[in-house]
Amino acid sequence: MFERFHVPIKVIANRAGPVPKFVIVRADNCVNCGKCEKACIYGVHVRSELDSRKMADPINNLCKNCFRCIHDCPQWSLSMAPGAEYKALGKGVWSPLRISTIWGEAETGKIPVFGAGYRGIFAGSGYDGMWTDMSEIVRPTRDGIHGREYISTSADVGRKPPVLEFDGSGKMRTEMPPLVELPVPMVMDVTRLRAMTEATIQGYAQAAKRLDMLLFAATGSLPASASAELTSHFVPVYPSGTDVARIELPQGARMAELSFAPSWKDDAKAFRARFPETVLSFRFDAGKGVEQRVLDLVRAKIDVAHILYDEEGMELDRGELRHSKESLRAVHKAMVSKSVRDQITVIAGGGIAAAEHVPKSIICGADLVALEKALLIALECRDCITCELASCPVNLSSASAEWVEGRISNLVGAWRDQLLEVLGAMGLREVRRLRGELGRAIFYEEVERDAFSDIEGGVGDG
Amino acid sequence: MHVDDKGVGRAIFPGTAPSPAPEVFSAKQEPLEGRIACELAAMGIKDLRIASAWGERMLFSRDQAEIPRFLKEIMFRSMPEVVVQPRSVDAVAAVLRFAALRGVVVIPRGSGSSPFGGSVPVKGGIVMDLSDMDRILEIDSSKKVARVEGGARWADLDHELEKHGLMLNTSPSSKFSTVAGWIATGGMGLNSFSRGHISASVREIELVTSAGEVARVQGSDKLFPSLFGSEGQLGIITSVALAVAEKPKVSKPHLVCFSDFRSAFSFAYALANSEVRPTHIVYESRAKFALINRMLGTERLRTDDAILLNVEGEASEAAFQGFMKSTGVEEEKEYLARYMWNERYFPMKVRKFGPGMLGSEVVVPLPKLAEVISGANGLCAKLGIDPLFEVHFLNDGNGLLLCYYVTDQGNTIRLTMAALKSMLLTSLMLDLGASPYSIGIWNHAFSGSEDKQRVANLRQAKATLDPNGVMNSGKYFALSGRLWGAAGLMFSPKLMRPALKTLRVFSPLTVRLMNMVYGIAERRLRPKTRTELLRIADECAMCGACIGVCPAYLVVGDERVTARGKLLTAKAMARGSKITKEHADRTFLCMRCKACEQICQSKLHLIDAFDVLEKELERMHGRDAQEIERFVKYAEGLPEYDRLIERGLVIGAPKHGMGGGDADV
Ligand SMILES: Cc1cc2nc3c(=O)[nH]c(=O)nc-3n(C[C@H](O)[C@H](O)[C@H](O)COP(=O)(O)OP(=O)(O)OC[C@H]3O[C@@H](n4cnc5c(N)ncnc54)[C@H](O)[C@@H]3O)c2cc1C
Ligand code: SF4
Ligand code: SF4
Ligand code: SF4
Repeated sequence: MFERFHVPIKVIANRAGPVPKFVIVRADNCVNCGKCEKACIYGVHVRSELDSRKMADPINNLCKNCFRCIHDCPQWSLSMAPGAEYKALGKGVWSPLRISTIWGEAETGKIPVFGAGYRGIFAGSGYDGMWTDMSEIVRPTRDGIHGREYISTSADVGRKPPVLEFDGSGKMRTEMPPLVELPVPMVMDVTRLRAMTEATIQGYAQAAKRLDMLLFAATGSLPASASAELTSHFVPVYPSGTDVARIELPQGARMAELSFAPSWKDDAKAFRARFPETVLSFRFDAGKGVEQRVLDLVRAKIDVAHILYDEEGMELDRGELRHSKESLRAVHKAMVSKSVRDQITVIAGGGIAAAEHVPKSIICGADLVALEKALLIALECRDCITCELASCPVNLSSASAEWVEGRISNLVGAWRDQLLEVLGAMGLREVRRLRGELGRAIFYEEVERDAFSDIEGGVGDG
Repeated sequence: MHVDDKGVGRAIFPGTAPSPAPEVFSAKQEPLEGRIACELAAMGIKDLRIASAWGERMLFSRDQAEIPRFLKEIMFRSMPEVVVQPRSVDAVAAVLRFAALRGVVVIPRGSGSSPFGGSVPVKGGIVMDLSDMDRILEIDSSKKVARVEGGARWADLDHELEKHGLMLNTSPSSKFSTVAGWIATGGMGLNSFSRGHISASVREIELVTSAGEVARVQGSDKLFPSLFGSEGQLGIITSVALAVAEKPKVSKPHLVCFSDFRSAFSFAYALANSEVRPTHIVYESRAKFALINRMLGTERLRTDDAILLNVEGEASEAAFQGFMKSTGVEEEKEYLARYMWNERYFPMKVRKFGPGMLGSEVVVPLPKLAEVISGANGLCAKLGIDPLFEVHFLNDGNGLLLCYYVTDQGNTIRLTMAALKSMLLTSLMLDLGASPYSIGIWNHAFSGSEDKQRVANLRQAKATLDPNGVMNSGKYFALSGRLWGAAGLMFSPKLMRPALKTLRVFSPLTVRLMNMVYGIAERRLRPKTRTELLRIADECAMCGACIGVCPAYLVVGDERVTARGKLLTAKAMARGSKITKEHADRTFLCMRCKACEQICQSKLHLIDAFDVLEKELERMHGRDAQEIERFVKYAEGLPEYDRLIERGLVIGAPKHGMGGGDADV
């Protein structure tokens, strides 16, 4: 009997007040008739607990923007406006909608619902310019709606030898490289996060253990209390310039990550010599020549390439702006053309701001994605421009490890469910088969080019 | 207001599931008090609410006027023994038959907005509150006739008419008062200049006599004229058929100012005789504008004597423009005219400067108008009061003259002096050729100035219709009261009129005397300190405008839940009266809808006052949160409440989220 992977979900209440997306204003001419209470199925309007004759202030964050109360109020005294605080949340890819969606996912563990339909942009930059194929969504009897529990989301971390050799007696001669199997194609990486406290790291670590995920963190950043227990889900990350000869791996660590440096070949050799059973990963900033670097890593038999993008999902080499969508596709293409794609695992990190970014990154060629900023947003972080724990509006320094663990479990649960939806809608049974499946997506820029490039003055004409 | 099933106004969300069936709610039962109440209850009359608890009866021991307590309580038995609220003609008849049998007087009451005491008991008895019979029975657009129950309010009727493109011919400025109440008292008001006295607009009156018989009286009947101004002496008016008018497309008020009242009058006379045919002409004295400016906090209006008029239809408007050209007078800006025109519905606002207001109301033949006003002005100067004059021009060569002044009603001595002054004023104006507008109790001394023929007809009608003297007896023809008829003697025209005249003739002496009394009293009594709550209660005009709009009243049917009821409760507490737990609990039954605040004639901050009052009551009796919640839930589920909300609690009040504002009524 095998045990089916399942993320336990439980509502983990917000600690700070939510930032309402819509602010409902009840004007003075309200007659406390209570019709809005009957109208609102989300419970925005209720009578005051202190005095049932009066309506309490609207509980704005429950509002799904359906306009029913506004329509039903006989006094026309209700009006709705986008919340100013809400609108000011985040920046770029980290839009108010994405941030609040993550809050909701981390609170409830459920797939988000957007009241009066999706009214976002039709296409945009980055992953917004990429549409996934959902053609099987109407065929529930296949892998669709009824088959979610048979869809595998697991992913392997490690290198796969191109061929297996056997000796005369049938014994395998190929030495199998170490491999870590994960139930979800996601890892957690807190190395680039601000505002970390012992409790939050501890909470992330507990979540990693509970969900059988990996937590990437600087060595020694794990509080002593946690390290003993959580080591097998902990991937120590060493800064460049670390003397490999002096590395002491935490007990039970299945994997370690070195930062890319000119001496990387020697570092790798030294590491291999000391820890042959440990998966070795190199992390480096994406930029010009990223394709070649990955090919170099393959040639040196490195197990994992951990490619880092910035918060917006852009390459960090500022010379030429390229989104991970293009960057990953180039990497994937380069490896495929050399027939070495399976000889390394690609983890992509940075700019993963919504559940849909996971399958999209994978379609572009990543094997796994690293959750970074989303981990912090899940804790109700408001993505302030200046971040200081002392003046944190949601008082992150007082969050307990248990609370953090619950929030992260919910987030991962919700994202995995959304991944299952996408796979189901595509008729796929395994997320492994999604990797690099460019045919499963439409790229807006390409469609536009195809459609208009031969038109004078059209795209691609100048 | 009770709204019938066929509905009023549009349904806002017809598609919504019906509200859950209401559970029963009834405010805590109070034990019946008094024999009459018990006997009535034992009869099990249908469609009848019987109120006998002291706290509720207390509300019916007065009307709009603030009367010094010693006068009211020592001279009269103003507390009714029981109050009944019938909802059908049969119930009215049954109570009247019972009263005739038992020899108890029945005092009809509409919304109690008349200030002369017509609806106030003088020797106990049964007050019959007809304001619950407030349905609009039928509107016939082709015949332009509306049939309403006697307790229907003018504002509600007007609102219904509007849907048919119709409007009222005429109404009192107290549009919250009842149709029968106005027929039984004044009958002169808005549009009287063009449409005449209300009697010209009544087609039929249904009257229940004290024998319990129902009579339908029409214009041709001999009895018909006597019903107007009958002050409840003949029977109960249970329904009325009214002629109504088509609503004009254009209706525009104008305001014209003059340096003295004589020029204003000559303008008004010329206008009245012109081709313009305004619907309404009213004279306002400068003092009114001064007070309105004070209220607005700016010198927005010229403090002149002015004529305010309204014209309907384009022809009339054109004629008015021509008329103005010929006179060479400039009219005031339109917005000022519109402001003043809207203010006609709020004559009581200035009370807050007293707080309180007293005055006198007489009908003057136009030729004598100037003389009456200058006489009154002279007397006022001697008495040290600053009067406001208002004249509504009628179409029969008369004017309805209102002369009033603000006064502090919280101080008994001062109030008594002010009341005496008002009687001095009335007596002067009558001597100068005016006649009283209404008798009630307080004008009894002037009943001798009534049209002799009219009084004789009324007396005759009373003898046939109410031989046993059930209907509002003890008033009008002779005044009853306590102390072996001391009141009757004191207020008798034969004694009081000469006495008032003497006081007037020696007015410097009178004023000295009054000041002396006042001075002594001031020294004896400690200066009056008022809590904020009591100040608001004193500022309340007790006009009853807030009752018809109150959804809590619709649900509970007990006036103690209304704003007027709550403020009277506050006054009773300040006097040291004991408030029972049941009474206190009722005070909390309120939807906090602010309809009362919006319609309030005195623009009071009622909700704040309720909060203070509730706090005090809570200290004494606690707060029954469960009952309040039951009440709210019950109201929410009541279809009648729903319809009222959909229609709008305060007709004419803005229905958009701009933060309230003045209602149009
Ligand atoms: C702000 C304000 C403005 C006003 N403006 C005007 C105005 O412009 N013109 C004017 O004339 N008055 C005016 N009044 C006075 C008063 O409002 C009117 O006289 C009013 O029409 C009385 O109606 P009511 O329903 O309040 O009757 P009530 O005051 O309750 O009763 C008046 C008399 O009618 C009798 N009565 C009541 N109902 C019936 C019935 N169904 N059958 C038989 N008898 C009955 C009563 O016994 C009493 O004698 C005003 C008052 C206020 C407070
Ligand atoms: S429906 Fe409108 S008037 Fe009624 S309670 Fe709600 S906001 Fe107030
Ligand atoms: S707030 Fe509404 S329910 Fe309460 S007293 Fe005023 S009108 Fe009545
Ligand atoms: S509270 Fe206002 S509306 Fe009600 S009786 Fe008093 S003055 Fe009139």
